[in-house]
Amino acid sequence: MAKRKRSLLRMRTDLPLDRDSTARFLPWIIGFMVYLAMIAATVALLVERATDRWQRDLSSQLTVELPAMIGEDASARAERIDAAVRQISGTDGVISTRLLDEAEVARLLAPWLGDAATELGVPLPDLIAVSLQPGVAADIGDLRLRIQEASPGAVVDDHAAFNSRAMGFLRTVEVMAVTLLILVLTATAGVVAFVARAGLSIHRQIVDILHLVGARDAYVARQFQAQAFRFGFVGALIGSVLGAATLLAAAFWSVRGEAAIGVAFRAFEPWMIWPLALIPISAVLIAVVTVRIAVQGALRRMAY
Amino acid sequence: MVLFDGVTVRYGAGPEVLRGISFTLAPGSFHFLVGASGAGKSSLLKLMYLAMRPAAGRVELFGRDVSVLKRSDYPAMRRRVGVVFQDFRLIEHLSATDNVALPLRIAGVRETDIKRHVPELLAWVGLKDHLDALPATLSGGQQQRVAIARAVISRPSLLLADEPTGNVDDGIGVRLMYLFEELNKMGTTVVVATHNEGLVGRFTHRQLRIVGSTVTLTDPTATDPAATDPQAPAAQDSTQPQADGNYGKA
Repeated sequence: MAKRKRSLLRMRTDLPLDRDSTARFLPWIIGFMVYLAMIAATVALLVERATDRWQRDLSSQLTVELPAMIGEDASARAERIDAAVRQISGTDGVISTRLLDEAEVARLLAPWLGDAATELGVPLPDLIAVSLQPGVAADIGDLRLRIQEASPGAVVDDHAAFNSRAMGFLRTVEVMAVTLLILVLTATAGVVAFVARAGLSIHRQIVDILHLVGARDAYVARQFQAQAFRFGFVGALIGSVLGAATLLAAAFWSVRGEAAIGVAFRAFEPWMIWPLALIPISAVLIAVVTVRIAVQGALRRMAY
Repeated sequence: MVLFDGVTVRYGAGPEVLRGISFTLAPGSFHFLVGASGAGKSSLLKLMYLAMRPAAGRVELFGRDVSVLKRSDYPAMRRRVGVVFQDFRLIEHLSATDNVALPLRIAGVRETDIKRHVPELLAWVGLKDHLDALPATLSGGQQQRVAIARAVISRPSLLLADEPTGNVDDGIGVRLMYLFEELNKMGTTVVVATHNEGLVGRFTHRQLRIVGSTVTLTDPTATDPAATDPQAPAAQDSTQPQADGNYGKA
């Protein structure tokens, strides 16, 4: 009698499931699914992280635009700016204000006015960058009224519209990545269940023999579960290796500052490895649990 | 041990294979189930090893009405029944040893015990040199002996053998019958289905004879002609003489 170990990977089996043509490619399919899931999860994590950062940065900044007044002399302009800065500084949650110099304003307007914006003689607005205390909601409406008293026509831009559109886009990307992750894991479960049912159909005669000599459904299901574990383990290994290689390549690119994926990968943090490591483990668990449910369900439908 | 009460067997919408059969098999009894090919011997055995249900009537096994058994009750019942299938039903990719060990492994017997008992039994049935052989490499007779070894390895309470000597020569056939008798002496109830009248004639065990969809009782050792007359009323007749105390209405 051949010596066999009763480990999960090399459990003795009465059903020759590994020889089934339907099962032969299962480790590769699971590997591919795990790889896709890891990439989707990485994208979701990076976008989530980038969104948080971006939202934090934008919500802690305001830009106040004081339009140029035709015919206003320099001292009146300086007085008007000082009055506006005082109003801003007196607002709860404001940490600092900074008046942008003419060169910075010209650079910001360059897309519209070209590089020689200062030489055109066009009156340029004064821009004040305001830093807000994170987590403190400044009363922007009140600030807007007070600034407009100090400097008529002043505009307070809290980036709400841009922030909203950008966040909407990023959240969409994130939702798509999470949806892809769920679809991939669901597809894995579907493929595994299909292979298990096919195996049950192929080996129906042996299953009947096992039942007739007293096997419980759980005994038969365990044999399928052992195969799912073995194939799932190998597939998870394949997917993890490919996923890790891709992440390392992205890390390399991020260091070199090349390619969009490299730039995006800069948001990667070490703790993200742990949720990613859960994916291959989840894939194996999903494979085993799916097979158990699928096989026991099919066995229950058998007459005897 | 086994009770059939007005049992009828029919496959789908086809004709009745067996009709209104009633008998009981007492614990520790030995019976031949005799009848021509296609008479319904295998169908009757199937009812006993829970591979089918009767179209009508009641079957009791080990004191339990099988019609009310839940599916989850079947394994425990089947572990008390050893079956030698006419077509052997060996698992092709398993060695002779692993095939015979199957009921033990399913029952959770320790591997050390399996490694001790299985080769012993295979040696007893003359397959000492074929422990690792796959069924495909064995002759029909050898496969049949593996099937018999698998059926008896767990010392079942009820042993059902469907044409167990069909592929072996007379010498081995008789030897296998002695094995069944040994098991019977140890308390196993034995039912051997065969159409080999010669083999049946060499033993004095009671006979359930299927004739025309009904079962009649024959007891070679009885002096009452009614009990041995194949034309006597079917075994379901509760007024039928109780030749050995095992037949008639329960």
